[in-house]
Amino acid sequence: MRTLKFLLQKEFRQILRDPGILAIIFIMPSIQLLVLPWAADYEIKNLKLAVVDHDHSDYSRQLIGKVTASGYFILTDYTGSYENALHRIEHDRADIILEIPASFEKNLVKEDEAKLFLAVNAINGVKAGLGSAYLRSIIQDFNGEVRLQWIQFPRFSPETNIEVVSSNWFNPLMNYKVFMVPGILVLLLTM
Amino acid sequence: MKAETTHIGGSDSKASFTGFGIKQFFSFVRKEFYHIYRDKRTMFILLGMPIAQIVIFGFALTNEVKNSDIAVFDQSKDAATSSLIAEFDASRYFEVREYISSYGQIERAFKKGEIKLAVVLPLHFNEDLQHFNKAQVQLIADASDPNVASTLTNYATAIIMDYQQRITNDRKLPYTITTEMKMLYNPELKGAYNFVPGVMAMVLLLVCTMMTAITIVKEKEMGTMEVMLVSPMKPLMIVIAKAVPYTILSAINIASILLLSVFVLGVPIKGSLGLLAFESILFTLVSLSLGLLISSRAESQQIAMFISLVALFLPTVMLSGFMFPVENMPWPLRLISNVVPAKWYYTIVRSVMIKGTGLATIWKETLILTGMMLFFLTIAIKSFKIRLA
Repeated sequence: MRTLKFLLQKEFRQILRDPGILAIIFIMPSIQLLVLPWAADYEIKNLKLAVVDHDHSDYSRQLIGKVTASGYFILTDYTGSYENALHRIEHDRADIILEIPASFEKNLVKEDEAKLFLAVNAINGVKAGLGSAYLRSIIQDFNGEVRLQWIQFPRFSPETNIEVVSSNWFNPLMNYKVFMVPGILVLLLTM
Repeated sequence: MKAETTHIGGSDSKASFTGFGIKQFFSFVRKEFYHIYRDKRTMFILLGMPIAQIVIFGFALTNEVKNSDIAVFDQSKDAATSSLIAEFDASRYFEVREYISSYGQIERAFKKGEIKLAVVLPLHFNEDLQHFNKAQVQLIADASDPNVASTLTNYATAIIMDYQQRITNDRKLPYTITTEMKMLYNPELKGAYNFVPGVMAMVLLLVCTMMTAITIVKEKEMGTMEVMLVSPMKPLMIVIAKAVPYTILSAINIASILLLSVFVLGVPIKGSLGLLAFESILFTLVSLSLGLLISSRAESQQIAMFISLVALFLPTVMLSGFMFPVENMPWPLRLISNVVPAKWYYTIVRSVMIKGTGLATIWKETLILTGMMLFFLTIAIKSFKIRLA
């Protein structure tokens, strides 16, 4: 037991004597734990959106306003040609193109149906999948609002409709730090 | 070996004045190759690393969601719910793992980590659907990994919407906006398209920077640096001779990564191979000069290794944009990411290899890398000490 005590003493002295090792042991992990969660963020937001608007109607403006107000998208480009927007994607200055065809509003009101076109830079598959899903759900919402302007739904809806309610347990605000901090702790202890 | 090289250097009197003899230079390069070749284990690691990384990233570290376990809490157990559940089971994204019978069990299943998503179908589902034309489905996702949670919720919603479309016989509601979507460059949303460029940057940086950083310090520690410094070779030539074998090693590594990505992972090279090779060599040179800079400052192998790990490897993984999206980070980190060489190289490889664009789109990144190389190389050579302490 006595020998063990001396050996321990020796090891502690060796560590305490060297300020470099002390810094590595104490300062580095705390800095990493403070910095890494900010960097290690998979959350998809601030997607760069290029809008190609051939319609220039009231509805197209409302839709663009709704998309940019969501907070997930930043409108980086508003042009009249798809080529231009594609060029933006090639230069990494846009992630998603939303193309609004000519007479979008007219078709929606008169023909009961209008089309929108999305082109997504899918090199990062997760980003592309989530980003396009966000955009589609915003478009869905917009669609619902438009519908409400034109028709009054009866109390019992005439069309079959399944309503999906989703909830996120254990991390209701979808904060990525909750997910990353345990991982970083594991990493730091191993190192 | 060292004695022999100095001897060769000394025998050619003309070269000894200039220090630029080609023969002497190649003897030094040969010496460096011996160093690498003799240490079989290191050589194996250096050549095997890209293969290991491709395999790890390709097959283990995918964010793609498939066959996620779900639990179903079916309270009404009627025709509609059972066909909806069958729909879930048939999709390649979900695997119904459990049928549960109370709300409490949902939480228990989540806590045991058995399931990622729970689908709750309320009582009288079919009745509500038939009589009131309206029914509810609740999806509960384990959001401790937020992106997986939203992806699963999206897929599940899509399945339910498909089902609804089918039972309404594709009757369209009035005033419907349909969205057509096109996934550019990577229509199957494969993870490989994103990480192959990242792995290339990481491997090059590890091989070039860390190994060059260590090798000069190793000479210092072993005391052989003195012998080299008194040899007729100019310090610059000594340094360049050290860099040559690692450049060749990185070229082999790039080739093996590209072959693996094309033939194993199915990621094509869309742009020009020559441009890709040129940019890779440029990045190799940046990493080498960084390694030389570290080695001329560091005193021991341990410190050289530590600096290259903390100051280079970590920022490369975190800030180059291949693991984590840089645009979401707070501005100090975004600012720092601009001085990480791998970020620029990663952008270049993505553009050339996957988007298939030419020099016109990446001239800015190329200029930045060239500038970085010149900057690091100048400092490295300036701070290369001819005298040892």
